[in-house]
Amino acid sequence: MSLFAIFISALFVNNFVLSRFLGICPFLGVSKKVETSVGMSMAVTFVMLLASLITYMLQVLVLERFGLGYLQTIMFILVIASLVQLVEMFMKKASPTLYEALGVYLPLITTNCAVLGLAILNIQMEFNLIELVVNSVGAALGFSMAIILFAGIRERLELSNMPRAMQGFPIALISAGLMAMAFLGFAGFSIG
Amino acid sequence: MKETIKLGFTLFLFTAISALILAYSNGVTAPEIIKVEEEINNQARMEILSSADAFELMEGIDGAKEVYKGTADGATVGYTLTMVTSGYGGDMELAVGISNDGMVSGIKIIKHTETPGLGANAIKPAFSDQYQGKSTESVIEVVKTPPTADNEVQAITGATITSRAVTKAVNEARDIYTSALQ
Amino acid sequence: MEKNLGQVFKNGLVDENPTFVQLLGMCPTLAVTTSATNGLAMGLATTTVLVGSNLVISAMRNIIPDKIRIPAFIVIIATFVTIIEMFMHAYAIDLYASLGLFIPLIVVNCVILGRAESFASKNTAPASIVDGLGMGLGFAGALTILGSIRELLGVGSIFGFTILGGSFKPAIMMILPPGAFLTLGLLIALYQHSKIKKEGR
Repeated sequence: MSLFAIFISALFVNNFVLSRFLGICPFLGVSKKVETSVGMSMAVTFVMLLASLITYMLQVLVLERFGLGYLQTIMFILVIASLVQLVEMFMKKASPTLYEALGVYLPLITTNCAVLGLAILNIQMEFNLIELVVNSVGAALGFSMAIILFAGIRERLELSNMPRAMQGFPIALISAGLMAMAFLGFAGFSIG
Repeated sequence: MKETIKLGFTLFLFTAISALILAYSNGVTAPEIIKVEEEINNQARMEILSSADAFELMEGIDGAKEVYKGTADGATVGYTLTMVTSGYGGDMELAVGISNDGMVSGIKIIKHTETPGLGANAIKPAFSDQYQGKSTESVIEVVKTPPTADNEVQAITGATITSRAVTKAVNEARDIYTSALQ
Repeated sequence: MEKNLGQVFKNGLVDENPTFVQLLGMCPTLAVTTSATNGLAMGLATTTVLVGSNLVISAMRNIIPDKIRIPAFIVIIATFVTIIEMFMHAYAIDLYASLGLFIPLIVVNCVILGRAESFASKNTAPASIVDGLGMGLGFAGALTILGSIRELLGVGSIFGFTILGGSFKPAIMMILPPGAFLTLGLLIALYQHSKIKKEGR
């Protein structure tokens, strides 16, 4: 696969949220306002890129070398958890404004399955370092795009009239379904 | 500071105990996993090259994940090639059997993540048996209507990408056979 | 604080159903419910992890320092998940193949960490086991229902047995990603509808 194909595939065809179902919790939970969704997607993008690089190093330099493949899940999640903690502490000092904007969402990222999912997928797909970076950027942007677009839709949903039973999550899920349907259009492209 | 070290040590202890437990259960399951995987692959080889009674791994052949030589009473009767191709839902792994007379003797999809009810139908005989008896001389083509020529297979309804991916892998196996094995 | 075990069990299964009421663990809920079998298998794997981690965490709740409880919980959960993954790979390879990536991702299923934090770390071991069973089976039930509906409409079968044969033309959309969102959305709407009706009376 060419780098371009990997990028487009991660961004659209296999969009993390709408086709792989990774990161659904923040997608539904933090998408009521465009502003907060932008903050969340920035934080997630940052952690995703860092985590996928570190977990890759860990996999190649430690786990594979010493035949400890079975510790993958536990090591990866620990890396992600400590990374989130570090990012939180670093941001608090380096950029208090950004920290305040993202503060609430940072701890949530640990349990965002998009981060762990990306780390594991990168290993499964047997990417090299450059392919891995391209795939991670595509996946992170795909996540951001989906959540920001979705927040835009939900802001409008707030204003529309609908049966009481449909309010809240049901209509949000159905809108997400329609978005996923639109994204299916990308699946027709066979790249690479 | 003292407290931090103590906390760090406690957490380390937790992780170390977990690692020990995991190492133990890995020891229990790992041989079993190898056996199961081996059995699946072996069964697949038997199915797609039924004329052979023993298989022997061949080294140094590019393009395929694994190539096995199938023999019956010591004489070579054909080959099985394990191919990796990208389907709709991710990588697919399939074994292609080619008998000595230059015919595809069968294919079997070993691993896939295709959509159930659509691409996953590729594992059904209705689709995969179409490759049986195809000649290695000509490129196999995918068509959407019932095939009219010998080198055509009909795509699975609604899963053209999967059908093409499988066909691509079979064609690659064909190429390897004609260039390196025949 | 002693709790009525029956109540704890029913609480997870119905009143605070993780899927329909708490909307937790959405990723596996949507991703693996392409068939009833997959939904049930995922649900049961999650239940096993949940019961195991609830048991261990409640038994050790007085040993785990409060400050590092979250990482400690995660280590315990990840251990159970990896064990399940190994055993599925060895003894149920078909299920292992079809659930794929979502087995290791049980680690980040919010239902499990949520129960560890809000129940197991405050209650006795027996109560935590019952809570894990209730929540787990509530989750498994929801996944099986979702999987059955999607499989029935998308393929015409449930658990692989053909139910709608002959002239039924499957709506393939149901087993593709959009079908997951639509089905869950409509199911929750139905749940809310029945609740509103009850209140109205």
